[in-house]
Amino acid sequence: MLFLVFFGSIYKNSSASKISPVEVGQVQLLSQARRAGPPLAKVLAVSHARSVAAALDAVRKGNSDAAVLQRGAHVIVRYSIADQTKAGPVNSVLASVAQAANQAASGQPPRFTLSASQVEDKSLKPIQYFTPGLLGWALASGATFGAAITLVSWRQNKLLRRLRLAPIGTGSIVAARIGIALAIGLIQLAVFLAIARLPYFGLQLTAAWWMTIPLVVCGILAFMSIGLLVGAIAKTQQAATAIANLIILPMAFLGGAFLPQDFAPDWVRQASYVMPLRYQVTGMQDVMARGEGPAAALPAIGILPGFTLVVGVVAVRTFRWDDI
Amino acid sequence: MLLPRIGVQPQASSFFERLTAREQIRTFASLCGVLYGVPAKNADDMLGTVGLTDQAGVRAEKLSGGQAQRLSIACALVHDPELLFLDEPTGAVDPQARRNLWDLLREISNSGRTVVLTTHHMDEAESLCDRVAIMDHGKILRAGPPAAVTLTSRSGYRSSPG
Repeated sequence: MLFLVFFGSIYKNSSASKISPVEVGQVQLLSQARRAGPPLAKVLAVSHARSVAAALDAVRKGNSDAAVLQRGAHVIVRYSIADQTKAGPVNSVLASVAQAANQAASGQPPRFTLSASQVEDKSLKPIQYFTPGLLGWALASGATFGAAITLVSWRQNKLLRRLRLAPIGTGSIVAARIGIALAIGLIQLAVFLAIARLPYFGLQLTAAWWMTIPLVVCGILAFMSIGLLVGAIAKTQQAATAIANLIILPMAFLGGAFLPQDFAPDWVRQASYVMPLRYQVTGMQDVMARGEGPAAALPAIGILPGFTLVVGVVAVRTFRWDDI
Repeated sequence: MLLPRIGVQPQASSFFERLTAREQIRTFASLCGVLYGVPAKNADDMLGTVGLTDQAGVRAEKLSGGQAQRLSIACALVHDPELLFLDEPTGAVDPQARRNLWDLLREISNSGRTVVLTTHHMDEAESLCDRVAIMDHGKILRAGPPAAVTLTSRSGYRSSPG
């Protein structure tokens, strides 16, 4: 939850990335570009410097992205590679400013026009991507830690032994725990969506978002089975926490909960196919943010219960009522 | 199935975390009731039986040793068992609380239930029990009425009457 608020605030405006060159004296090109209006004028935030030295200093310190000066018909651009993500756009934006000016000077209308737009809805903001990721991670750690630590602490204080010796069915205890975990998970989902949909963060849910509900249920069952396995192996609560962290954190980073899979190296993508979190997060992204139909969630809804079954069987096999 | 007919009190601290005394009994009662249709007893009556009426709203981890023992026994009684096993019910309990527990155990015994308990105290065995068995390493060394067993036990121990 905290992460959602944190990342949501940081990346709120990341789509509007401006280039701020500093102009020495009068640079005809830049004033032309500003007069020409969007799109170039929109990404340029030009400031002025009195001397070349002052402009270069501003670029070196990172206060400006580039220093631009004009000698006759020759325009000189000095930039810093300290900020590599800015260096590229600076060069290409200023190059296209020069090209536009050349083209205008030729007196001919442009022969080719290029219009580029992203394939997603215009409103697609970072929050669309990391709400499913962070939600998946929150649900995964909640279900895993909850199941593991409860199991270990019940075994440690002999409550498990008492439950075993009372006329209480194992089924009703397990059903009660699963019911609680599902209720908590669905509340988590509701709170997450409510916060992310605040105008401040501006999450836009797409049509099939309701498919996240079965996804959340399947995901919680899968992570509870991991938690039960951890609880069956671990002897102390500290060990349970450590083992659960070892499983959940790499999964959150490599399975696409924190970082988009598109930037990941190939081996990470290969490894993510064994991680249940990957299926849950991509499934939720598809139906919540990418606007795909309800069917997009079906692979995850098929794979997660299979995973639950396999891990659950191993957990039941390793389960102990007592520490001895 | 034997489980509905026996009640076991494993250790005083085996409770659900953060539940009050009344909630502990209700939780055990409803967990039992789900499967065996045992009528859920009134939790407050149960607390009254073990003398915890005033502690009904107190969390289990805040109860004193003796109170926790009595709550533990109450939890073992929720499904009205015929046979009750108690594991050192008076261990780590102050002398006064121990006397209260004795009274409780006598009441349970008088209500027609068989109580099997373990203890380190010969005087306790002598005062409470109809039959005593002395165990060492899982083997019964002596068994019989308390007077006979404590008199002839190999250690030569002879307790003063409780």
